Amino acid sequence: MKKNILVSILLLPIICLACWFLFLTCSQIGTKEVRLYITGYDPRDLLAGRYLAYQIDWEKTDCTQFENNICPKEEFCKEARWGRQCRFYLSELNASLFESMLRQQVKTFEVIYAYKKGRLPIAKRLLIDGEDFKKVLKKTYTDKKA
Amino acid sequence: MSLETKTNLWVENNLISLKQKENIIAFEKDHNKGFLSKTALIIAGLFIGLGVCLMVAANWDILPTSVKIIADFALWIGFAYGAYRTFEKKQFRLQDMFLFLCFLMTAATIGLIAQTFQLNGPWTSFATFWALVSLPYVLLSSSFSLGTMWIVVFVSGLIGDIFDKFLEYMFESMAGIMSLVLICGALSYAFEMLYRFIKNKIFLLHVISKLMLFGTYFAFITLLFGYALPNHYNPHFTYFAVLFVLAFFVYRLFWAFYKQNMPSFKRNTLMFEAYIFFFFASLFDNLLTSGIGFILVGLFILLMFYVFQKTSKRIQKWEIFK
Repeated sequence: MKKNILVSILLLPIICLACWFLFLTCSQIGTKEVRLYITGYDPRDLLAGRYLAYQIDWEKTDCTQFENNICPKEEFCKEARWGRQCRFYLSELNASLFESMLRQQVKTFEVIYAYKKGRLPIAKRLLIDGEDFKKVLKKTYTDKKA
Repeated sequence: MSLETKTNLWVENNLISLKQKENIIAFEKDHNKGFLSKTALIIAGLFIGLGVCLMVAANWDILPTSVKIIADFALWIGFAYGAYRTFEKKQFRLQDMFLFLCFLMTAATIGLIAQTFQLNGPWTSFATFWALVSLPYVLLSSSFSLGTMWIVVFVSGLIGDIFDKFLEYMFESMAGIMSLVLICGALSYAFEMLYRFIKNKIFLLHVISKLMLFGTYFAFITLLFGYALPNHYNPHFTYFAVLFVLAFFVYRLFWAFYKQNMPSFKRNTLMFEAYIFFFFASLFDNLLTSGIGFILVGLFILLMFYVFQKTSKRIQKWEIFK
């Protein structure tokens, strides 16, 4: 087999996924950010506890963020199964902690999405009581140590 | 039946001459040359690749996402370069291991990108995408294990949901597992017959037949040793059952080795690998430590392989290591 062909074949999948990564990165640029309230969901999955399973709480979400003040419910979590359950991937060490916090409904959970009409909305950040979840996590551990 | 016994029987019945028997045995020995070392390398590749996948699945937040992405692509390019070098040097065993690693890195990278952008989707989308993107590696490889794994991933992507429900239903009862044994056995036979009928022209039929045979064997083992995997479906798990399964495989492998029955040796090695994998998988608690453990096991196998190859002339003289 010719050297160039062999190198091309070996690199093709890598280039393919690198392009996908770049496409997803670029598709976030210039998109509006929307803030959606979320509620807990029973994941019924073997990988449960390794991500946060949620549903968007459209009743609490401010629909004025969207065009014509209408929430585009059909555009979010299109791929998700079992009643439009969405996932936010977290470290396995913290996922179960946040999952139980979400189920207890003591704190307010929100997800910031990069959104543009007709494009796949991409979840960017998780907020707990308006604060980034990483800060909340830091505080929790500092409190525990103290 | 081992090749030695089989050929003796043929000689006794005047089907072949003694000279022909010797030629057949010499050819088969040459044909199976390096099987064990190839298997060891594939297992090492499997452990390292699965370890990387598990570390990705753990979504550890020690490093920032950008560093993880760069490290992932760098590792993948490294494996691809390894495959390229081994292609050039015609080191076919190592080449298959690197292609196997590239195949698993494709899955790890898809998983990492999906995590980074919080993409939601079912297993079927993931499996189909994985199978399509990694197809070049499978086409370049001559490894039966890689081909088999690719088919399993591709088919599960296409009919994963139906298959999942079917298996859940079948494994619910003893009668279901017994039916599965019979169905897999019948399908294996049918595909092998079809393969021979079209004069061995489509190798994929042979692979499917073998897969079905493994399915039969695996369902049979599940039926007999269902108590040997620790998980929440199996509250009656006992260590005695694990020892029993291990003893069974050791006995089968020893017997196949002793009788020079290579098909039996291959079959039992693959089943043993599958059992070890499922045993580990059923013990998963912390994905990160499991991933690191897998990588270390893979590296340990590679180290052992290297030590055996380089230091022990005596071991190298063993027929099975040649």
